[in-house]
Amino acid sequence: MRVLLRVLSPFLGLAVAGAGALVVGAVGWHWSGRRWPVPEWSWVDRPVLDPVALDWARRHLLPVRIGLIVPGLLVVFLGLRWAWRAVRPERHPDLLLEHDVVLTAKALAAAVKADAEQVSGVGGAKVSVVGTPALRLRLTLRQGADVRRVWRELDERVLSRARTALGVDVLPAVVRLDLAKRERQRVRRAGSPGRMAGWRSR
Amino acid sequence: MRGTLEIHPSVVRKVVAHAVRLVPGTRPGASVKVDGSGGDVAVAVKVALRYPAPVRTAAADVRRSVTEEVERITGYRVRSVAVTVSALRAETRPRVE
Repeated sequence: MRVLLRVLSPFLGLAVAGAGALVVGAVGWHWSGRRWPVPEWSWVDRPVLDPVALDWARRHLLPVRIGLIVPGLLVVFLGLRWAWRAVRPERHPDLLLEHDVVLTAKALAAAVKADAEQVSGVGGAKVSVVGTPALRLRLTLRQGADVRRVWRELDERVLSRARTALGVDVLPAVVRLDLAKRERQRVRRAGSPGRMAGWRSR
Repeated sequence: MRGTLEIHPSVVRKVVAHAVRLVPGTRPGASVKVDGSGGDVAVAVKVALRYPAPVRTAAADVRRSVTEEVERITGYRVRSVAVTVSALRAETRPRVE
């Protein structure tokens, strides 16, 4: 679902931007004095605002315009910023430990991943460096894994070793634990031994 | 007797690689780049270290070893040593279930 949203969000952003451009074009076209014919039943030519409010706005044209344009520009800025953050690839920064000493994000992530996959009950791990330093770990647990033990070993061994290597007391980490899908098993039925006689477990 | 002694950059690179290997905790296969001329060089090395040895300490050891060895063997002055740790390799241990 998250992947779907991530894929669709740029298209949604483009659709909203397109709708905004359409509105701007329509309003500009209208203000320029050129109008396109509209059917009799259409509400397009009728004022949306209450006539009293419209009169008040006409009498205070400059502040009303400023009051509409400034929030509009702010919304455009925030929308573009949001769209850029949604689309841009995630950064995995290398760590500058001191002047002229750099630890690559790839090296640290690979070392922590190798350690995490050694923890009993962990079937697989994905590790990313997401800060300087900060980690994100996604562990896939096997069926029947002892979650408390995994958690303890993760802190006492995996993250502890990373802290030692980095020479820091605190290493922020986001950990996500997923449970692996149950492995499909073929079950021998007690009543029909003959049919399963040739089947061999792998 | 008159003359000049020039040391080819590839020789300096080999000296640097040798100096890196002398440091405990480094893994073989360091990548070395040497810039500079006239007896004044800047060195950049990419190394693999043993995990979880403290990276700062190992990098300081690499820097000291490279500076000392290059100056001792070639007589060149080492202006700077940039260390990039491109891999951290742990001793493999049996998986406990």
